[in-house]
Amino acid sequence: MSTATVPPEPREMVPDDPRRRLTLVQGRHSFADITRMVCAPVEEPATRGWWVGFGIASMCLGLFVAMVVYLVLVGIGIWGLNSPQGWGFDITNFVWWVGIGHAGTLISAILYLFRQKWRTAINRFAEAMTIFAVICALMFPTIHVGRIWMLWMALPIPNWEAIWPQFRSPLLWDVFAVGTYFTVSVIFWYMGLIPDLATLRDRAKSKVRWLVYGILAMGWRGSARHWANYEKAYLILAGISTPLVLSVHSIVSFDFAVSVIPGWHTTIFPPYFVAGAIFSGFAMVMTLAIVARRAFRLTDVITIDHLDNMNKIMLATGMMVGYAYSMEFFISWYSGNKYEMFTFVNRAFGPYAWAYWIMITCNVLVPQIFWFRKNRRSIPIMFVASILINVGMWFERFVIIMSLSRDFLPSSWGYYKPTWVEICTLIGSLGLFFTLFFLFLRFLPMVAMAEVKNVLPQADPHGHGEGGVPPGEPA
Amino acid sequence: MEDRVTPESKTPGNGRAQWRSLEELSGSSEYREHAETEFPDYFAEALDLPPVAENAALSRRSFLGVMGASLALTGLAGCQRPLAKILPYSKLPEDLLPGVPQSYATVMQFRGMGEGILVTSNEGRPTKIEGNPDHPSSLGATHSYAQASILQLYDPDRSQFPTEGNASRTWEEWNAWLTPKLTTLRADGGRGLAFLSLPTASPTLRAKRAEVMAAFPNARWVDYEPLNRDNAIEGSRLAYGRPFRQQLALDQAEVIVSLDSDFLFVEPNSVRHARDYGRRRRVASTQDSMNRLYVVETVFSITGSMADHRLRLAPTQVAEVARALAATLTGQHSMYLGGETWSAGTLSDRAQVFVATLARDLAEHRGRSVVLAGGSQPPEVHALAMALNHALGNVGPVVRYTLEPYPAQQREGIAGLAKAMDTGQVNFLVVLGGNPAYDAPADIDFTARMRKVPDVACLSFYRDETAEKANWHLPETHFLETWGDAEAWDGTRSIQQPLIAPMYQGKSELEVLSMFLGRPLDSHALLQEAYGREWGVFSGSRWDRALNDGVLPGTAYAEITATPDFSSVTAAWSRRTPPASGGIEALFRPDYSVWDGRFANNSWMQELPDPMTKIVWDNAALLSSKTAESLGVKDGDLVSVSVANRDLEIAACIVPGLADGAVVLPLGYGRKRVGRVGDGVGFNTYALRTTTGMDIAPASVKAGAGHYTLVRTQDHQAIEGRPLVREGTLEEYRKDPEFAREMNEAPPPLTLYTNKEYDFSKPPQWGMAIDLNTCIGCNACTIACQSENNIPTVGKEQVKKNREMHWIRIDRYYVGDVEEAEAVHQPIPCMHCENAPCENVCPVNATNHSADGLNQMVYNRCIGTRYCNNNCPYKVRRFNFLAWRKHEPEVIKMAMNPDVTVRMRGVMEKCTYCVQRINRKRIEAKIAQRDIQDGEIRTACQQVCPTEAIIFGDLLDSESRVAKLKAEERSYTLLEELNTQPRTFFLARLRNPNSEMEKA
Repeated sequence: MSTATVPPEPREMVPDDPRRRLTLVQGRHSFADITRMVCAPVEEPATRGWWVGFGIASMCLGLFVAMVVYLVLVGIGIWGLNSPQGWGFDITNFVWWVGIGHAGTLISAILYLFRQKWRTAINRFAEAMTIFAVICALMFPTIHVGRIWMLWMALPIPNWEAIWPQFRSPLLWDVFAVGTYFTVSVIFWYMGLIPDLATLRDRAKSKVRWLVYGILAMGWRGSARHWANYEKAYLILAGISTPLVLSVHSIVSFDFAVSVIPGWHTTIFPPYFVAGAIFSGFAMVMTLAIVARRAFRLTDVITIDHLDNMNKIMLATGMMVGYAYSMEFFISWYSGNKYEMFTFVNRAFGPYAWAYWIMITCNVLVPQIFWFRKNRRSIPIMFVASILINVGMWFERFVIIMSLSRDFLPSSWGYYKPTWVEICTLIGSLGLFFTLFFLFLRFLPMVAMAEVKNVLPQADPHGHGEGGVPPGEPA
Repeated sequence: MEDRVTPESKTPGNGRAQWRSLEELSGSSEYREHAETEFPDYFAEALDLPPVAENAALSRRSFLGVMGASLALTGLAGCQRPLAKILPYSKLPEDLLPGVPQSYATVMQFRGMGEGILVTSNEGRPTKIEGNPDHPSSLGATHSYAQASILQLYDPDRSQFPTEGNASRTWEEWNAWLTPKLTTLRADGGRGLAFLSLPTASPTLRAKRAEVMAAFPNARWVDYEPLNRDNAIEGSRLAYGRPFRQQLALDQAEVIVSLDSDFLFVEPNSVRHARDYGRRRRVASTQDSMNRLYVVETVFSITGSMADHRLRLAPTQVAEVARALAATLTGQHSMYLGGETWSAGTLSDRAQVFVATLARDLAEHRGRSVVLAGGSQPPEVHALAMALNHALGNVGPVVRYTLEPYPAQQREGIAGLAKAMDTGQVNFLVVLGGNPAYDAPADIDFTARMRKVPDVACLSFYRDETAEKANWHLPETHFLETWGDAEAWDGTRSIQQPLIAPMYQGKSELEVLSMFLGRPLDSHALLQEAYGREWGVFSGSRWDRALNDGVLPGTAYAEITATPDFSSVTAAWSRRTPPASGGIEALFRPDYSVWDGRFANNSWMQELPDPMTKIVWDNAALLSSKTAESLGVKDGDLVSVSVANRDLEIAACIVPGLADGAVVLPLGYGRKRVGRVGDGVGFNTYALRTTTGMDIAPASVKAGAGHYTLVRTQDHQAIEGRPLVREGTLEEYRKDPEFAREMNEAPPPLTLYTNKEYDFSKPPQWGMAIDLNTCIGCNACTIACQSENNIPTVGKEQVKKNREMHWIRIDRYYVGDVEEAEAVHQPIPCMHCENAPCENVCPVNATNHSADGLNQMVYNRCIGTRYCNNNCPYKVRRFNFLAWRKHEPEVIKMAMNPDVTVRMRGVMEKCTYCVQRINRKRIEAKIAQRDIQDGEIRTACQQVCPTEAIIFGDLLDSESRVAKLKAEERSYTLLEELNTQPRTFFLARLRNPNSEMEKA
């Protein structure tokens, strides 16, 4: 029988009163349970669902490769681009994928610095999602150039002629920003993986697994010193990654903000883009988490409360994005600049009005359902909403880039229609993403075991979990 | 087998020797082997080998043309970067530096007159055509057709060898066939022999034709060109009893009235007229005055777009305006037109006001005005216009007359010939240069008549519609390949000298006629013979002088003074049938791109947008919006147009400002046999053109035949209230000279960057002025740029995707309401901004700035992110989305300017202010140790502009034209609030409206 006081209702994941703290992991699992649950998808033979998913994703990846080969052999003309519309699906996809990646880093790094322990259930695959999203993103600036074989000229490689790239160009800043982001994310993610890789190594039943995980685990012994170094390194990397969340998408937004085109040339873009990135990133994490937790029986680790919290963040960032839309409209009118005013009216009522209204519906209206707790905790609703939000965020970048179609001189106005090649390339990039993701699910622990164990009640040396009830005993 | 061939041994009396000596290169056997695989045909004959393919051997002189090409073309043609061997001259001609182009004067015959040109030649192959500043029809400019004709020379679909039926033949075989025939014909005085030729402005050719007619007195000779001046000549006969030709001095006119006369482009001598018109249009200060142009027309033409007042009427109504004008001038301004009374007829209110105001203006400007009638108006309108000019005292100062040397009525001529062919009176028809199977009036059905003639020989440039139905087809030379001569509009004669030996086995009409005379000679000999006869004794120095200058001085026609016969004019008008009211009238018109169809296989011309409709690769039936609405037709709908019981399905295009109740049918499309570019493009409106309705005919239009995609280079026609083309009236300008600058608010030009890299204070700093007051929107600059800078064409599908490659484009905006629209033109080259938005955003520094102010494009460095074009607010950059030149035939490479890189796929390009020309002059000046003079460097667009609307020069040279233009109050830059600081600036457009037009 317990002598501790029962904490007051309701219970929250982030309460003011620590006695009202919800258990982050449901089901009263032990450390061993966690290990078993998370390692199961990696150690057991792949499920049929995995094979089906991986198969479809690989086919889409094949489609992507085919489209890229076709593009390199024939030229950018197989896309629908023209003058004035020099960018279309290509840069939309780039910005969309980079944006998606930001949620992972936010969850991994920023929430870590804010000591939001509920992040531990999702941070591993969110970070993986970031890396894969950035890989997909980097594909697009690579393939969208007219002469891919000359792309090395954009890199600051020292040469005899002392010819450097042009450092005032936002595209070059992109190279540095997204490159840095990728590098840091990979290091951060990998470093976080090490204790879990060691777990897999220790549980390995086959020689190959033992060797591979062993090499990857870099000799982790789980000693106190290792843990101390680990925590320090984790903190430093989280500290480095945090500003990247804000800076990388700000720099990507400079691709547009630094230009003179009405609809692009605006200072609201950096915060607007960052908010949008987090918004779409969380939506992608949500989509993946909903499926993964059910498929891999991790509902106790990735609980409904985690999803609830993510929905709250989506609502918040969605509101920021909605505010940005309305501010853009207001400023375009307030500026008195006829080109600006025209651009915004044109967005809503011109040839791309259909894209604009899809964007508004998906980005402004759909997240509003998350004001209601019932909706925040309903799996089908949040699944559909997260997909719609990603669609809406894709359209947001599309609408921005379509500002090119009607700029200053009406004689150069033109309409852009994507070709089947561009649509297939977009689908193909999803294929690339999901192929990598499925491989990740199959070969790496999708949840940060070590960190989740850290937030189990039994891990708290001061016994503050669950009102002091030890696990395995009735309340 | 000869090792070396020298034409000197074959043809006597060479002209300039320079361009012939390239053949010396043929010595190398390794080269021959290479070249043989590349051009088996060209060399087979020279090496006395049997013809390798159907394209049999060419004349030895073709070496010359091929030599120039060979420098680039030998090697593996299929690879990306072919191995090219450069072979030096073994005997360098005097004055020739390899790599330095040379310029030769010659003359181009077009529209029945000669237009003097200077042709730039690179290593023996002509690459660019310019106007000859000394020639009265040109004064240094050209129209777009002259620019395009260089590509005709290198057309891969050109006819290359004679054919009999479908079999290839040689000239020897033709001569063998012809000689016995001639003997039989000569015996009979040429009965049954008929010649059908294009009218020519060449006196030598005319003399040769006369010689042939003298040799065959019973033969018949008919001249026919689909777009002819029958109406004007007949009108002159009515007014003066003799066929006169009008010589205009438009710079002396302060009031110009155009009655359906597109004198700035379509009417003969348009280049000269545009220049003179521009002279009186240019305004440098508030003290200057401007001419005033009234246009009454059906179609919305280039001339109409320059009008200060425009009245749009159906074609027969235009004639009524002429009558009303006569009535008003005689009735209210006591002008003497023979003492007859003229009745005004019924006109709309607007037209009446127009006529009244116009009449007063003309009356106030007696002796300083002119009334012009267009070629499609019936003869009585021409006659009346001549009478009015006389009565207004314009004859002498503005209008002068010379005798029309080629007065035959062509429509009657071909109708007569067709009848003769029908009744079996013709058994040997020789077609010299025309294409009657395609463009003869439809009711004649020339093709069917041709079948009734036992022998038909056709000399033509392409194996065209007529040639394929003929027994014998003979390939014709291009004017750049053969000797000849031509008279300008005013008679000034020029000798046509070739710039390249005939590339294939062509012969000119002169040479073919000499075969008929039994003395086959080449054109050079024939010319020298003719001039020897003319000068009494052939003088080599006189000959060389003529070739050098491009004009023979003192050869202009003599002026004639005469008084018109007013009663004859009145009688003609009284015979005129009143126009049918209601219904639609069709107006046939030449096309701005392909003229009468001769340029149909010219990809530059097909892709050159129509200046007003901006349509490419097509023609369309032009309708006004009201007419279209009443018929239920939308833009792009297929409609069925019926004229004289003939139907044609054609796409409809709605043109703001077109006259109601009319359908305009541009000619020259729908060809079936011209080549890979032109076959099947557009709609053949000749099918509706009959002898009774060559220009104007009653028509009916029915909707509902489907839809067609018309492709335009400009999709949006309205200026959306943006201060891009800034217009004002002359009055507004006088009150406030800086009105143009006040039309746009711009903050003071500040920048965060202090640009230490470029010191723009050292001369020269290049800039370009474009005077919107004189730009007529003729597109000559666009195609000149294409020729000079090796700009590719992309085809209809790609233009539909907005991927056309023209470096300079002309934006045409409609202003005002849809029905009574006005139009403005604005050429947009690269602005060469000092603070260029494109330079900032290129990640690899492929676009940067030069110290003399040029925004440079480094093709090698460009990776093709296209951010530069995205950031360009003027959208002047062009991207090579695909390998546009991949399937281009090798021979087209000969047309390219070797001074300009040919860009590969994935690279951005744009206007460079013709940096190759700047550099060439800079080098020349440096070698000569002198400064570059103003006007020495002329960009391609500047050089061809008929009105001199584009001026390029050093902005820091206060004496230069461009600096003076910059200092004018009318000057402004585009989108100055973006602080791009462009070097290309515009001068605001002024209209000179008659204040009384609004009052009434």
